[in-house]
Amino acid sequence: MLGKLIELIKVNIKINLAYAVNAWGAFVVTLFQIFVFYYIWMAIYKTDSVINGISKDQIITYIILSRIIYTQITWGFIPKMGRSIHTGAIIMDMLKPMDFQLFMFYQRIGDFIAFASMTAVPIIIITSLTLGIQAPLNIPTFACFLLSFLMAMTVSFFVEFSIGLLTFYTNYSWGLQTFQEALVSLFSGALIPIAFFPGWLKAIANFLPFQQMSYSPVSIYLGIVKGHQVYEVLAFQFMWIVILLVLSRLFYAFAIKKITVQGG
Amino acid sequence: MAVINVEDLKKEYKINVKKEGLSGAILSLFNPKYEIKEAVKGVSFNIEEGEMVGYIGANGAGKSTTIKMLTGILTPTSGKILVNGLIPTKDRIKNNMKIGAVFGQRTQLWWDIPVIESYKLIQKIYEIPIETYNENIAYFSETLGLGELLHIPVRQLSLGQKMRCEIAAAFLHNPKIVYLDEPTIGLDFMVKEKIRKFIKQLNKDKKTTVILTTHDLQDIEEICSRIIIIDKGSIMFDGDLEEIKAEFSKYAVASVLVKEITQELKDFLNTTSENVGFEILSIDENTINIKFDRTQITIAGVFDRISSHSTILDLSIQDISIETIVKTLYERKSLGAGYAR
Repeated sequence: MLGKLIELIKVNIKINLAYAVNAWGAFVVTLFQIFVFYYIWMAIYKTDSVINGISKDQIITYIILSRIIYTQITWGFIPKMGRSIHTGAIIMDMLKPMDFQLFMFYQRIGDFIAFASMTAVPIIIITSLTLGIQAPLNIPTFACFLLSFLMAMTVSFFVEFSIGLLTFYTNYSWGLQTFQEALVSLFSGALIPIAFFPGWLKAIANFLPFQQMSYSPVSIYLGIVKGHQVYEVLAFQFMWIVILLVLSRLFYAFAIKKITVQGG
Repeated sequence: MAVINVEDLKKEYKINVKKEGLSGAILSLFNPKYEIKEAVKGVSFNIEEGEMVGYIGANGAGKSTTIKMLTGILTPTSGKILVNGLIPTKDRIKNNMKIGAVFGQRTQLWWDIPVIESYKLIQKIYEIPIETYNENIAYFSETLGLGELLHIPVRQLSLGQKMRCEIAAAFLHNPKIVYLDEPTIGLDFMVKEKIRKFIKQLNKDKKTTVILTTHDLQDIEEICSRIIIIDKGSIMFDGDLEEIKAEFSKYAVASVLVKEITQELKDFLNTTSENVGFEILSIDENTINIKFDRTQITIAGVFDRISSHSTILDLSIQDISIETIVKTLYERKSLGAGYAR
């Protein structure tokens, strides 16, 4: 089991390395966005040093972390799955003696590791030298952040996987990707921290899984949630993982029965 | 015991029927119309361990659909499939462990990494014992001439090179059954030869059961011992290749090159062909291809008849080819003679 995991991750890192330009693209785009967001938020914070309980220093770190996460969770997994379904290449994956979802999950981990090392780490170094990133508050909080972050990536995988499966019905993944990006931008808090949302929008966001993908880990890191609230957030994330695991598996089992393989 | 057991297998597709033109396309968007297409209409057969079966039929006859149901990718509309005693769609993982597949238009190798890396991954995924893996790699490299190909990314390989690597990948875990869906499509003669030899060798060494679909009947002739012919979703013929060849062996094809095809000769050929046991297959330029029944007419008889109307320059005789047999079977079917068993 572990052998498969390691080998699949290794292969996916190699595939990512084969597309080094893609990794550079993610790096440049994310860095650019961070600077744009930085200037916008600095204009907002011109007169106040704390808005909605978030300080100027916190918002800078918020921008950096949430933009990195946003790039990671919208950088091409849905089109990759979509292409595979659309062209019928998916049948070769379905013929592997492995659970299909697990097979995709392992590959997603490979993508993630490649992204972390080639895009995320360099950006964190550059931005901490230029804009300044808030240091972790303390070791327990940082540990909770790491846990929350890994759960965030898992939630994101299930969402991407489920939206990717819709290609069985739409035959085309570009619209789905755009749809996911729109939902994620708003409801994950990647664009605007959820603390800034009006009450009704906050209520909607709380009912959706998207804030578990970005807002939860970042707000733990920054101490926007503290004390026992942190455990509530972690428990909530875990609950979403379980819900999405069950739903996405049911959906997959349902969708493959309807599969018509493209191209003979 | 049969390794593959198929009973009354059916597959229906729902097809979205689009109306013509732009307005039609927009109408279809709001009021989609569907049509049910029966791709496979109640197919039954058993395949024994170690058999090499050619599954043939025209484009759209239902070959690939059947193969995809056997592998468990497609869920049948109705009917029963048992492969190694398992239902492929239910016991997907267990079933996948024991089968290999090559789809001529697809790749199971990872596009961007060297072939050997894909093989290493397959070794892990299929939990192939490392000794078996090493043995197979050495053996396959030699018979298929993989050698230096192993270190090249798949996207840089030619079609023939890629297909050799694909075939090796499908056999790497010593599967009990291998499905080959048009494995020789678009390949040159040398590569085809290599692949055929390899498949035969593995069948001999490991008793691998092989199900092959192809449009190249040479593949069938060299590899298969049994053929199943499918037409419009139903089995038209299922039987021993040698048997059917024996049945057709009384027929032969003569190619006669004449100096000139006169109207007189044409008239003669058209009027007498029915009753003297020969049939004109085709006339191209000055060559006349004639299928004749050895029990009714000798080659000398054919020669005599034609030479009385034109000068014969050259003559060659071949046993009837598998192509002609299949064509004849199709014609019989369309005449309503019915040959399915």
